[in-house]
Amino acid sequence: MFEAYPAYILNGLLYASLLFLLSSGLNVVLGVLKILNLAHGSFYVLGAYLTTSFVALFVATGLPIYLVYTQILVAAAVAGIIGFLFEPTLLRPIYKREESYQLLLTFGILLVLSDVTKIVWGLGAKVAPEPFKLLGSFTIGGIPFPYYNLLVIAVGFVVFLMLWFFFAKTRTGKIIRATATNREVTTSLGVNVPRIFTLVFVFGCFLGGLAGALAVPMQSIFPGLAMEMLILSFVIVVIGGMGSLEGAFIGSIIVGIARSFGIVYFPEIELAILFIIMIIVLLVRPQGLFGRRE
Amino acid sequence: MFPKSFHIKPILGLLPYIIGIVALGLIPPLTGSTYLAYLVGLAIVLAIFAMGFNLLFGYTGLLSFGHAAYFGAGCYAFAMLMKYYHIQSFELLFLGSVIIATLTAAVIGYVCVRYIKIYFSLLTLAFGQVEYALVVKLYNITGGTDGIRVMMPTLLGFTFKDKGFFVTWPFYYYILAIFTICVIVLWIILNSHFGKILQAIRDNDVRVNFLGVSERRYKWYAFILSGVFCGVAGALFAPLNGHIGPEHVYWGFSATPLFIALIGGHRVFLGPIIGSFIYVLVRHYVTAFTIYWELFFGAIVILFTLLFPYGVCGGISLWLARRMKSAKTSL
Amino acid sequence: MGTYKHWREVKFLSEEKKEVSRRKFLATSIGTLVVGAVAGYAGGYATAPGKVVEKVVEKPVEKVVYKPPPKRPVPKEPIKLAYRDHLSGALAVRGEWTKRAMELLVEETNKEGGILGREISLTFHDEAIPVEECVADFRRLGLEAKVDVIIGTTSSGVALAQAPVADEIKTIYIIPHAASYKVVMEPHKYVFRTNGHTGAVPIAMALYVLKKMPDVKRVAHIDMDYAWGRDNWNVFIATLKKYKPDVEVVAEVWEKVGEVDHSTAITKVLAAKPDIVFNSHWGGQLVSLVRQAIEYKFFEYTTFVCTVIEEAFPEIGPDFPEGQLGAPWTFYWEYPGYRWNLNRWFVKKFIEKYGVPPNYPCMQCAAAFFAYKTAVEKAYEVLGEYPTKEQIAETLAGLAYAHPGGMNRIRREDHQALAPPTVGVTKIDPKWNMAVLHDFEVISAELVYPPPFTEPLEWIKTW
Repeated sequence: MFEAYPAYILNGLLYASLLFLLSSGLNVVLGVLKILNLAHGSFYVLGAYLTTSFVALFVATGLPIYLVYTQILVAAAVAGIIGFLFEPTLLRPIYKREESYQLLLTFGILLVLSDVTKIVWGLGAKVAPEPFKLLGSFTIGGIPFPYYNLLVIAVGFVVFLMLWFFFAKTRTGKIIRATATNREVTTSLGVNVPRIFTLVFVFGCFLGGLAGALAVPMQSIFPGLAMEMLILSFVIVVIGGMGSLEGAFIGSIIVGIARSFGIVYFPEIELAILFIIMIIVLLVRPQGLFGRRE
Repeated sequence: MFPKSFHIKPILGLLPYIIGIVALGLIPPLTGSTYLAYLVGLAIVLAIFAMGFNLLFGYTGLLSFGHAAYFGAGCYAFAMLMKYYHIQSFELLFLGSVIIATLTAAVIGYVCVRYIKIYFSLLTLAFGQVEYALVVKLYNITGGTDGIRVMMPTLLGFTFKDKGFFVTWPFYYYILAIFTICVIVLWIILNSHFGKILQAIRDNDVRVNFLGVSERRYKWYAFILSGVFCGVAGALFAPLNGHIGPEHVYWGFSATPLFIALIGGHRVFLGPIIGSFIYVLVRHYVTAFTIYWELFFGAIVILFTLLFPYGVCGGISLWLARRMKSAKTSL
Repeated sequence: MGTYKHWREVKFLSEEKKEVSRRKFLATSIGTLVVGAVAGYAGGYATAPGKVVEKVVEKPVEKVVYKPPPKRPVPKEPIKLAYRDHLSGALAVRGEWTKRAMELLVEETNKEGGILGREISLTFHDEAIPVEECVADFRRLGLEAKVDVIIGTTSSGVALAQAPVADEIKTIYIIPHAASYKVVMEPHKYVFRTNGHTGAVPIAMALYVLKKMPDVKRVAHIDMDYAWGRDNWNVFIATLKKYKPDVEVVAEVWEKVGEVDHSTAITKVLAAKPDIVFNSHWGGQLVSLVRQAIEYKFFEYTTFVCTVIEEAFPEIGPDFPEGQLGAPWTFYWEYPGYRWNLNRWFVKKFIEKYGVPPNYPCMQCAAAFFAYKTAVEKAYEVLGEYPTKEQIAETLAGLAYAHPGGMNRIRREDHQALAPPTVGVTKIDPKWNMAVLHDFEVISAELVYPPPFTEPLEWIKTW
């Protein structure tokens, strides 16, 4: 029985990696712009759909197949660019408004994007299996495990390190952190805050799209997934702490492993386990593991 | 654009309400259409639900993402009391459902009001989803994803055979009567001392504490009261629809009263009511034409948020106010 | 193409007809009872080939010739057929295929003049909207749009919600896909179901497993966590345990509906080393499960047993693992076979138009469509005028009819069709570049359908 544990842990880390990428996009927007982007799940979906289209196109051109992985990055980048369409036009007017309006506006964007994906890619499920199949699998503890899953875990970890380095050490990162802490003072110091906001929003959408792009070769994508993904990212943001990068990382790992072992030992609990963890965290330490109380 | 503490007092008095209720009462005799009676009945039920929700949102400033939990508790209480205890009387079922919904709101609300803003919203969402998971898991008693079928109850002791007749005449007027009572009750509550405290909490809850009023306790009372109205709506919805399921507890359904309150105007008493009618009529005709109804609704939400933040009724009353040159007026 | 145990009935029917006509020719003064209904029953029920049904021979009486009433003209307006299925969302794969089937059926029937000369006008309605909107739309179709018949519904929850409304609005509602046995647990005048249900098909699946793998011991399962998955699994394991009490359940996974990440489920099941893994996933969830499982080399370690496996064949294509046990839920496109005219007509036209054979949801659509068509035509024959909805409903109850998937009989008491389920083993067919079911069998309806208004698990206990 215990020989399966490495596989269970790897599965947990796999799920954690996707959750981390997804929720860090939401987190970074929340921390800097102080907006909870309800449409964030839509960018995950967009990233996934774009990957299916780009991979299909790439395979058709007959270029060397191992370069297909670039399509994942391309799809994520395009998701970010789509975010760029929304921020200056729709979001900027409402930064000064009441919170509920921001939520409602992003909810409207969620609805619109849901139908746009239906119109563009149709109603059925779409797949992009080539990146997944290409790498094959190995056995661990007597159970086969695909190499692609290891790739996803690695990407999640690398992104975490890069983000941490970016925010802690680089100049732009520090400027962004300053903007998050105090908008007015930063403006008075001569920083172009609206431009920072746009940059951060686009980056958040890119991360969400990257999560979708990495996930779709393993699974499939169909309309209606946006709300699910949004709720998952909420849960991680709450558990880890709003605006906290380390929190999102640790929180994702906790949720990923809990879910993986939960399915094994308590199969009935899968539906509710995320929310139970979320309630416990909110009751015991509402600012999350690494968050700060406002 | 608008000052944050803008709130609206009535000017035209009771006239629009009287006209409205009489007009609604004339629908069955004038049209005799079961389908229309069903749609209007649904709009009224959702209006009660939205009024309950708006008690927290528009008046107390608390945005709940899990309000379908109390509506759903009312629905399921009704259906399960009818199915397992063989109670046929609508009056008894109604009482039971409202009590259970109120208790649910009291328990969940007690925990949630300790938190503010986004934490409050997410906690209400989490509790709503746990209730959903329970409903789906305990499928042996709740019917799981299949839901429970609700038969026609007896109204004031009278039994009915034909569902079409039931919906068009006796139950329709019953709903209308309960709706009138709800409107009167809510009106009295919101214009009372209690209502003023809620609005003060919405505008600045810290200051309210310093004035010696326990904002937490009043938020809890508002939550419980909101649960009562949601339970009423749920109890009316169950026999009207004939079937209830876990989708009525899902958070997507919680977005409906939010949408209604926004469209109608969340700072106006009449707002949720008008919003509900708009919502039901538009939704039914849009889904008949196209499968891309989300696009349509999403565009409406964006439009209203950017341009008409006070909704239809709020906009009208602001316009009236400018015409009458007084600072705070409403419908 | 596989063994056709019931192919001989087809021959039997045509031989019988010749016998009947020869008899009539010889014994002019003898009136005989028409044995058409008996042939219908024989097609559905006869298990052993060559079984002869007793014919009733009357004493010589006055020759009574049945004179059908003079035929009144048929109304000119088109027949409105509303079809509801998942056209969007996670399970849209289902709607894609059934839409094709319905369009083909209506198009071809209209080409031949429609039903009794009336053209059929077909409209599609999405089921992937919230249940109460489905119900409201259902009401609208009956009360406002005044359609003649509503066919459709895949989700049992939606079917359960819509069934009482059908009686309310007095419109015929034929269910081709929704499979929960609960739908027919209460009598409804206007509701009919033409395919197998969750109380019957898993029994057939279990019987087939016992036949093909008599030494099965360790059983695991991955199922969707709602009524469908629960019923499928409970009925399957109850049947299995009834005949082989030493069977052991080694791993259970309940997945939420719409789950895309199956890696943990697959890992958990593989770790338990089962002989067979039972599954009842459908639509996109089945496809993503099989796809991921292939990468985990799942099918090299264990045998997959899935009651709706056929739905994944076209989506996965030639990568589909061979040697897995499965069912196309009820009707399979290769059965009853080459000699069955309706089957040839439908499958050939489908392949002509779409390039692939029809999958089981398409066959189910055809079953529902032909139920309605046959009922209308029969009622017209008897009455002499175009039947009302009520009269069509009365004809449908107890109707035996032919459709591209074989013969079907709708039970009078609960309007459930006694549709014999097909089961088989997967194998890649290079002609279609995808998997097909070979070595298949049709399990007789009496073995698997509980009596009307009886819970399947209760019925299994009484065996």
